[in-house]
Amino acid sequence: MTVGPIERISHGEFLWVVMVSMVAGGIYVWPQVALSGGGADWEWAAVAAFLLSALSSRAQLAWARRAAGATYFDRLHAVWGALAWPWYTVDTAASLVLDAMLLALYAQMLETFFYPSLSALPFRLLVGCLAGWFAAQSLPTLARNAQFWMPVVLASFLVLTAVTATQIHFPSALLPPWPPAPAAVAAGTGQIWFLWSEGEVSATLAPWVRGATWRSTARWALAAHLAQASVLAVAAFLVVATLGPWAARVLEWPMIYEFEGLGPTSLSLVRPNMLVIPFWTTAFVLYLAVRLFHRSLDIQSALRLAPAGRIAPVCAFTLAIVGATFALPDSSTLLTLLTRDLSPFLLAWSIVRTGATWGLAAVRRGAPTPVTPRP
Amino acid sequence: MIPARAAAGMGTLLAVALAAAGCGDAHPIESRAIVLAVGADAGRGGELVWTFIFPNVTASASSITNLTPATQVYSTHVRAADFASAVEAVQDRLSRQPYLGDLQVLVLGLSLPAQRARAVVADLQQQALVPSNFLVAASPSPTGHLLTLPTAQEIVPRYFLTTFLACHWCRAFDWRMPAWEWWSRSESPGAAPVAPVLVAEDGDVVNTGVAVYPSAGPVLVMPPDAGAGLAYLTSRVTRDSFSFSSEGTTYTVTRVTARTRCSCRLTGDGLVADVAVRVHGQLAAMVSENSTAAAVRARMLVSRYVLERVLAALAWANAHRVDPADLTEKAILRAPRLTYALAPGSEYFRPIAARVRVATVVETAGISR
Repeated sequence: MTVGPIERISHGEFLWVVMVSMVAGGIYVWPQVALSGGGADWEWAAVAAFLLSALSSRAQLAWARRAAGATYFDRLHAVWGALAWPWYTVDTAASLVLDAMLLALYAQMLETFFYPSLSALPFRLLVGCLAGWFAAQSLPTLARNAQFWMPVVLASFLVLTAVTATQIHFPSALLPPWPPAPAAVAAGTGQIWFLWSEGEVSATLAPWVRGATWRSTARWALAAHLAQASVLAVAAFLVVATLGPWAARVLEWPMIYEFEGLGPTSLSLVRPNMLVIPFWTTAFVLYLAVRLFHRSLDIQSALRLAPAGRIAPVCAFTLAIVGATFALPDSSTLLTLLTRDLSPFLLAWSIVRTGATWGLAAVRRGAPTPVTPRP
Repeated sequence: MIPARAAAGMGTLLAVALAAAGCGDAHPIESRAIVLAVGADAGRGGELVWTFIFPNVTASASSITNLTPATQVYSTHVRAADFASAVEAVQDRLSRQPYLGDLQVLVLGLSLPAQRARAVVADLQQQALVPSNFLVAASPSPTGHLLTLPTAQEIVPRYFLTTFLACHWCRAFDWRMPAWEWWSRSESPGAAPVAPVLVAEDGDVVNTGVAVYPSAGPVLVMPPDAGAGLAYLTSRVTRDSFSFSSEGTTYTVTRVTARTRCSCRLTGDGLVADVAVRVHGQLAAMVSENSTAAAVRARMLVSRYVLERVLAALAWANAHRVDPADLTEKAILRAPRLTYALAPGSEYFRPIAARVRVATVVETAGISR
């Protein structure tokens, strides 16, 4: 294990790390969650969720600028004092529950489609422990892994998309209704927010970017949001335009279904869907790893642990996530719990916490601090 | 002494390799029965009669040539209410585990009511292990006649119906519809999936027409003219050909293909469709003094021929209140609010009023003038 003092990463690595901390955890249930949540207005809901997430990331960096500290928790503490603890505890708990739910869903998907004779148990353990192992590495190691693997993952996604795109029949199914219905858009946004709930990764890691300014960090974080939004857009277009909106709404894992049966099965490209296993698992492991990393980093600074002491929160969080998957119900109930309960809560919580912190930081008129703490 | 870190790394790698390789799923080939095709017919008391087709894997490479056509595949018939129970029954009967990952063809008996047939395809789609790209066909019941047709055309492990259905340029109309498309059509209000009707005739398979599956009632088999019209309406014409005799001259047009574009919208209580068919063919043989005039004449005859069939298909659709050409679906999709108000698989039909334009290009080919 190479837990230890934090080294800096580059802007490019920051981009990939922020990218993998969103969307990658729940892309395999997309766009079914949007179709069932937003109804006819699902596209407006998807756009609203993206705008909100970009705005929330910008607001986090805006208030962090007014608060001194080396990590996200330190800055939160600088604004709220002792009150930072309850804020942060709720944050951490909600984020761990989200990660446990996504891990349980992912393991269920692997079991259903690829390993029907095995139980989901080994996949929960393996994926969870691999993520913990990556999270225990140093930041540059984790970031280099994200920087190496994410382009490969995206390339495999594009290959699968390209071979499936020959089956597009209904591009008109993508027509959004006008005018949008505000209530349906709000409900839909709440249901898909979990995809975008990055959990302050950009604010936590911003101080560790070489040569960063607040402006450059915000720009790279926005680029990460845009990249993931385009992934979601491609996936949604593919599923709805090939299967039609009705069949897409009925399927629980529409993308896996697509990749499984719609591509060519003859010629030299045999079963391209097998790419799903290595590359989506890689994306999911990195997603969990980045989130475990930044949680453990904050806890380390909150508890004033020694650099090597970060291993303790990493292990504790990994155990909590993997352990929680055993207490979770079957996938369809879980999906309902995730979209109807946890996701709207995360959205509301994110708005309240970021808004209140931003407001308080503005009222206190703290002097702008440099993004990178002095060594 | 291996360092603890290296040991942990190797242990993890081994665990990943073991779990990801799917060895828990492995069964030797002699204890598996690979399902190539499935047939479903109406049975008594709500049960279905299922026919499962397996390749004769007892054949070794040297003995393949000695297998007679009749022993290339073997079949099992079971009675069950749903697919999962049928698989259980087959397993019980064969003492082998049926492997469904290579299912290639599903043949629906015409005796099966349309709703039951839709349920069968949906049932198979629910099985994550069944690939979603097997091909769907219809056949007069019992489907076993077709599925076990002794044919010398293919030897194991290939299956003759797969070859027959997968060849998209072998027939005038390509009715091929993979299961995912068939199922997604059946989930779309206003759309009706179709399947080619295959009949065993003199030891060969013959495509005699097209069957339409509405959301309720019996399966409808389209008459030849309307069926041809549907092929032109849905751009499924791959290699049509026909001959006309007009004013003492015989025109033969071959290699006819068509591309159709429809602009459809819902009105108060109907559907208005603007259909544009572009036909392309080759004038293969003619007896005429003036080839230019003959080509013009042939073009007119082809246009009229296609127009009559397209109108026949639309009249058939209106008469049976079912739309196999997906015009209704296209019109619904233009109204997003209506799209999402309609539940998957619900029934929706509006009388179709269509304006059909046929534009034909006939090239002269052949060697006589």
